[in-house]
Amino acid sequence: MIRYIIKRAASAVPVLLGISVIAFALGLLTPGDPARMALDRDGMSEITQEMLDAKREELGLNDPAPVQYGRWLWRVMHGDFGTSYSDHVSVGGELLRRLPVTLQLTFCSVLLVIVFGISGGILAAAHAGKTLDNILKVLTNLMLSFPSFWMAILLVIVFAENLKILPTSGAGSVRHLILPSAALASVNIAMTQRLMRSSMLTEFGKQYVLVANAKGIRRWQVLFAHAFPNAVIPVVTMIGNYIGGILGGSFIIENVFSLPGIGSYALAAIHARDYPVIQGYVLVTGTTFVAVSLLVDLVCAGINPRMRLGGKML
Amino acid sequence: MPEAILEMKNVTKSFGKRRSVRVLDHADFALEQNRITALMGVSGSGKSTLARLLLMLDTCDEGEILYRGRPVNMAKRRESLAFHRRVQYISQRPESFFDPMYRLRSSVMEAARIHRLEPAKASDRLSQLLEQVKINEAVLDRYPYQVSGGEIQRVALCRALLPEPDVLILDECTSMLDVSVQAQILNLLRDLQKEWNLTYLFIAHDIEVVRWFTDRAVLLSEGKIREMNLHNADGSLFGCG
Repeated sequence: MIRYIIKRAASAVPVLLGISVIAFALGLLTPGDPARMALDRDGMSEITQEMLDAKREELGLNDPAPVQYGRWLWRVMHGDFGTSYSDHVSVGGELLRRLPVTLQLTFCSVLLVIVFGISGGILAAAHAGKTLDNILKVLTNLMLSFPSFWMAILLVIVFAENLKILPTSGAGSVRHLILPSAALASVNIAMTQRLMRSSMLTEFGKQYVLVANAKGIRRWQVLFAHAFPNAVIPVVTMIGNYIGGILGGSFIIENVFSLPGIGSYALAAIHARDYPVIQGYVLVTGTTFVAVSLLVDLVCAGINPRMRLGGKML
Repeated sequence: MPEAILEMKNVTKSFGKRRSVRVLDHADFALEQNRITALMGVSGSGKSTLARLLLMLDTCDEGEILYRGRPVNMAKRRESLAFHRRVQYISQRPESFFDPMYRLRSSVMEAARIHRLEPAKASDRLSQLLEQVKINEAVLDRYPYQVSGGEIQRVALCRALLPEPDVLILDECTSMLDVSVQAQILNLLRDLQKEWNLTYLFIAHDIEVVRWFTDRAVLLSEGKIREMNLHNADGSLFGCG
């Protein structure tokens, strides 16, 4: 297992480097002169060519791109993502301040997906073709039909405006996270439930389940000790991708609910062409996604011996 | 006439919407004790369904299954457990016969745990069985995908024989193996049958294998079970006796 962890972690390094190159290239290739933007930020009203040349030298912009990349990467690795063009605030500090909100939102959404998606899928499979399965099928169809922003508006109208039991926006408590995470999770709960159901039914059809039943094992034991561990592997992989999806796509929900997360920060930066912020966002979300993928692979390897042992004969 | 150990009486089983596909139609069938009975029939005739019914893994629409002359009440845990201990099953697909998440030892010993066999006794019996089926004990420390089809079938035999069954239902258990391994497994099955006084239901397609291996054969066709004469002078396949 340790060998697998080292192998898998090592394979993540080139991906992380690739993300960093893309993020750096974003700043390099976009229109605008960083030296001029820096002087603007310093409050220089009249910028002369000498000042620009001096600033370029100071910022190292005259150096070849690989040297600039190396220096930038070194700074980033020490938490220095540069300064925002819009509000002149440290990008690293602002990302650090906002990241917990997005992570809390992600955590709550994933929790909802795991609890309702997986349990719903198991229930549907255990009652395949019966009333409960049909009810769950209709529910998942509905959930899949509503886009997350529409679901967000619907939830606000019902739970915040009419029932007045949950806040409409803002952050600070678990109550503030319920509606956004439910809106963000709804489509994924439906997708997870469907995948879990079909995966369980596939396992039910396999010989080892028949044999387990023939051994006289109780039905719930066959379900949880045999079918479930086999069926959950593709679902874990899908939930891992879903976490990446939230990190990259939570900005709509963060905006609807006025949550000060990194998604809304990135959206504002896109409007303002604030490239250091966009670079920081790409790096943080990319790195988090790689870390989550690594974690998902390790979880899958923990469950699935074939993955852990690489299919080798002993 | 030999005593019937497992029998179905007047069993009907249908599938599909409004139960339009009738697999068994008021079928009667008895497995005679200490004998090898072959069940033949074309693909889709319902042989595996019949096996599932005999294993009490599915319910009959009509009729009943009797073990040693009396019906088994599957709602009673003790009774169903005792039945599942005495009637064991080996399937046709060795690669999916064992749960891929568990090492073979764990899957084999699971039966001993369920049937509350004394661990030391179960361990001794397993060693004896491994010796008989000519499998090195180290094989049990592997995962199912790490052993060959022939080895899996031998381990499956150990798994099935560990709880000391009376009846083995062998659902095309050698059909996925190559000819030489098939012959080895059949010889082994025959030796075990004699030594442990077992009763086999041997579900198969190959008439030559059936002639060589079994004492008696029945044919499942159009929902009915008919006795076959395996030793017709003209060698006809489904001559009814």
